[in-house]
Amino acid sequence: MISVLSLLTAAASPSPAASPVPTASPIPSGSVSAIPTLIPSTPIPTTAPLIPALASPQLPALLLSGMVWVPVIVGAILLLVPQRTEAERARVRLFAIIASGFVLVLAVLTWYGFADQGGSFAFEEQRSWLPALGSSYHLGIDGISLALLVLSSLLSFCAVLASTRVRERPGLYFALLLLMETGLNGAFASLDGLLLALFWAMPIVSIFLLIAGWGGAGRKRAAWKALAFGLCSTGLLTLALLITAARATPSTLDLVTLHQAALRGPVVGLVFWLSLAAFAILLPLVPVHTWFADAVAEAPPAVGAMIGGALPALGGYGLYRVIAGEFAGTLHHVRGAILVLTLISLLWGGISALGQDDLARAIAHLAMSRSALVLLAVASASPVALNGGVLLMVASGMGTALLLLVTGMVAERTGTRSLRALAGLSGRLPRAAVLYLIGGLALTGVPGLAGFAGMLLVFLGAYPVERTATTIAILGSLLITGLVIWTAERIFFGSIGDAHLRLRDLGTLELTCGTILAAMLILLGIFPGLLVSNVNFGILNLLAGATG
Amino acid sequence: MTLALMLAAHGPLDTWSPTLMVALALFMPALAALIILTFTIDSRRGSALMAILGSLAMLGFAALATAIEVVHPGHLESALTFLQFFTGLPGGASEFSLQWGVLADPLSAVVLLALALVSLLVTLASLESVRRDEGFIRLLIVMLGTTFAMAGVVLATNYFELFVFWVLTSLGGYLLIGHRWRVPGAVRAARHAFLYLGTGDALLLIAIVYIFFRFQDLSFSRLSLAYTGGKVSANGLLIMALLVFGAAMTRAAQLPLHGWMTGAAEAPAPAAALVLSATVAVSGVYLVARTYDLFHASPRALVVVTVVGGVSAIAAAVFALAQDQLKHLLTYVTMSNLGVMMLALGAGAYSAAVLHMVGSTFAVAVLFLGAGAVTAAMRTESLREMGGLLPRMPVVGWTVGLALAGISGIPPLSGFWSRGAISSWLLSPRQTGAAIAALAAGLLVAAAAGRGFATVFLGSTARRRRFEPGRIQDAPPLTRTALWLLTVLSLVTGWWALPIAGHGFLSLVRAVGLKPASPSVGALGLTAIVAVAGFALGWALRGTRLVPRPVGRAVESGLYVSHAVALAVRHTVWAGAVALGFVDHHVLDRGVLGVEDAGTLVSRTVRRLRLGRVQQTTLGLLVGVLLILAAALIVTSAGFKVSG
Repeated sequence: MISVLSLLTAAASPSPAASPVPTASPIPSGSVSAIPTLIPSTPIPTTAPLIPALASPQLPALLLSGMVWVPVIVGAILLLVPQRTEAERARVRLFAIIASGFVLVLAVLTWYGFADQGGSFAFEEQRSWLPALGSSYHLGIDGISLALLVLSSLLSFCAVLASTRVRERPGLYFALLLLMETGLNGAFASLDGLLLALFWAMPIVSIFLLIAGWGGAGRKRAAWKALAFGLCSTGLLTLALLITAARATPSTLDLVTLHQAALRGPVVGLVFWLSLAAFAILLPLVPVHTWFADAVAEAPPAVGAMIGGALPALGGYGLYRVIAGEFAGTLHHVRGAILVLTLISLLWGGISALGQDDLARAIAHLAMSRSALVLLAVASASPVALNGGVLLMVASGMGTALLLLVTGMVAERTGTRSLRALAGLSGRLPRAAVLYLIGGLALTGVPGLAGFAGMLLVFLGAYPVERTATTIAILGSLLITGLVIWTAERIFFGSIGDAHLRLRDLGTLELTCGTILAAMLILLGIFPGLLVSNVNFGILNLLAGATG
Repeated sequence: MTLALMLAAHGPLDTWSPTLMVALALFMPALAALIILTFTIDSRRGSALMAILGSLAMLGFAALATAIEVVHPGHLESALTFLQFFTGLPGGASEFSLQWGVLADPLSAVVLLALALVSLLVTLASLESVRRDEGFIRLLIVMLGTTFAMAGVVLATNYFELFVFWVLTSLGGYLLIGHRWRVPGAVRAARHAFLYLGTGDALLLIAIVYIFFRFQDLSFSRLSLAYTGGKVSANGLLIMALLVFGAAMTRAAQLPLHGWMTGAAEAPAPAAALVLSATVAVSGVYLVARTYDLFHASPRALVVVTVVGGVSAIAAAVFALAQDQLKHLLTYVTMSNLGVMMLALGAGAYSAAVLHMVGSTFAVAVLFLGAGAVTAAMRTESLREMGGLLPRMPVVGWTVGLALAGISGIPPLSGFWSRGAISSWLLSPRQTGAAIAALAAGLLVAAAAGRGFATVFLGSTARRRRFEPGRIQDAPPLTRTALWLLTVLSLVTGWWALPIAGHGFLSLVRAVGLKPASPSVGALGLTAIVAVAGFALGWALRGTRLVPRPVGRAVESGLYVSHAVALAVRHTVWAGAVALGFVDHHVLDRGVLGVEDAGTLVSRTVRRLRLGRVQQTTLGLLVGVLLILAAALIVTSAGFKVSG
């Protein structure tokens, strides 16, 4: 136990040895020293570009491109593979698992190889693409995007793993899932505006087709709704970027240069609101949230888990990169309005969740209530809260996905997700009950699970800036606690109905993907420093750029 | 035991580190739980062995730590970093760090020792009473986990660490109360408890956030100097103290936040004993004792603590008198007892309050273990169907009787000394109101205890159909052992109030800024008279129904306070959920319908043009994008005007 603690301190204590240049081998040696240490005791390093250093020979220069494009390339191949017999379908699934697993391994390796790049982006790739528009193929990551990249790779892997029951057109299904992964990873990694908008649209289109093709009873309506909102988000984002590119000097779509180019005049407010609306749709915030619960509930379970887990993170990432990073001044002026929006969303999600009968819809509202805290963190512009916000995005992404996957497993066995119809399943599905409780408690912020550190940091950081709002948010979080306890009680406890006496417990595959998520929730709950060590530099650079 | 260890190991005690001892004690139950989870999850015998070994090891280290603290009283901390990063902010806020570690001082050592003893003996009792039950191993793991969490609360060095373990104790209480998850009552009680305790957690979180905002620090020892440094106004300190006290109130079941406690008896007997004696219930009192510097810096907060404690102590004793169910009676006796501790803490009788807390921990454990045995034998909770159990269950009868007598202050048992010490403090600087409240609570609780004991164990067994009193047996041997050991502990603890060999409890566990109190003969005599009179009164009242039925039922449910709260919350939230759902479907979606219709329209038009499917979708998408872009332009330019 003591050694565990010392390991923790080793991972989380400040060490002057953490030089901005990656010195350690990027391949994890399995020892503690491979984990990048946290903070040098000196203030933020200068923004001197260290690009030669980070194109370090140890890691291939195509690392990010690999993480972005491998899924969709494999997906395209899957479309051509024959899938008439059961064996051929199993092979299709295996390919998809291998592809997403490969990306996950790359993401984890990147995590270990990542060291602070001193104010610049890491693993940058830049190729000329559309010079006339001021746009280029420019990828790169900092701590924030890396954390979310790992999240999206993990969720995609789990979603592919959990999609064992797809009988119709499995090739197309997995191709679309992989397209979604490409879009998410690309959006997190892209440093070019046009590229970002392009990647932004990919998950939306694939969600539309996945819901429409493989969804539940109300799939048509839900799919169109998701598409309408999603394209609206993409459109708003594109518009904001185009306006920025037109008005900024020098004219460019490159996010790094844009970061340094200053916008002036009323156009700042316009771009701010346009991009905020784009992100609010995905986060989702009231009043543009109605698509979210529909999409989560009507999508096939694995896709629902992706929607509920990864799309809010995409919206949150936009908030960080654009709203917190570029518009700190505007944000400061309209903070009151943003906070009202935050609190409405938080309470709206929590209260409506308690009124749902469909478990998946309840969880979707829960996720919405949680992601409102990300906006609270962004509005506070405090480094502590922003760190917490990233932790919270990762934690609630994994927690929501776990809950939705378990819901899917329960629904597959009982044929219903209605809270009135389910009872006492703990006797038949004890593993599902444990996984559900872990996911739910992670969302409520119980210590030892990943949600806790994020929640605490958000509250500690936001309170000095926004006292009333933070207090209301803390009390509003009780709604989430109530919902998790109440649903767990409805589904798993009490006496079991006659209809559910013959259920079988989770199989190996289902247990595997549930356990991966649960283990990650516990790991990050005990060692949040693993994430924060990398994220914090991204936050500091973001804030330095925003104010300076 | 501590004294023996002290004498036996006087040499090493000078050199061993108390923080190491308490750290080892902290990790023993967690280690045992991990071993059970990893290796012996399929073996009841192995799991039981591991649980007992873990608790024994914890007890050993806790005893060593206490011995060291008794010989060399002092305050030692060792802390590690949980999370630390550079914030880029100017000044003292430039680094954000959260620490966790262990703290060894007389208070933490003594409470840890009591926790270890109760945990061990309760686990011992659980081996028998639930061995054949489903989920026995789960119960062991959760009990070990709850013990670990409470040990963490006891040893926390700062508010952050305290909060971590505090919430884990809530979770442990939830899982223990809901252990029998097939029983609807238990599940309801568990949910109830989690919501009450969750409210307390939220209050504590707000307090912590506020304290961090004001002081940029969460460490108890550094903060204790900062409170009086004039950095925060008196009102700020009052708010902090009241928030912390709010959290403590939910745990110590102070009026009106006591609703969860009667349900806690739904847990299996050993689990209920653990929850109500040494872990969840006591953590509230411990929180106030641990953060006493904060309360000391805000005299108005101390007044609130005194008043709430006094009102709860008296009200709970009245509730206890009117009970018709055994476990509810014992719960309210416990609650009244916790109220007395709060009252004493508020009035400044710090050492006496802590002594009362430690001493009654054992007695409460006896009460709930014994009540479990009684209800198991009688297959009823109702007091009116009980009676005459003493000859049939002598061990349970005697131990429960002694515990009840001790808790209500009959001399020379444990509660007499601690209640006497409290009264001495209250009478010496003439805090008349508090003294009267304490004595009145003592009288009433003694009456309730006497009535309960006489009703259950004396007289004749009530006749019921299909129930043969002849088949009632005493508790099984391990439970009997646990009951006797706990009773002995509860009897001897109070004697520590006397300054034995210069190591009297009252001078050992002290708050900074308060002079140590010593029990005065007059106050002790008054306590004894009140307790004996109350007990006799209760004895005389046995078997009678004190109040009319509806009043009794109202009092039994704690004046319907928790029902009212639950009803109000449920209806408000439900109405809110319905209203928001209406807005979602009929207001917000209607706005979207335009877009949706456009999509359908496009696809219909395209179908008329007899294009293929793929083109249809693509065209629909393109038109959708264009439409949305146009709409976005209109909407945002309007928004822009507003903002600009």
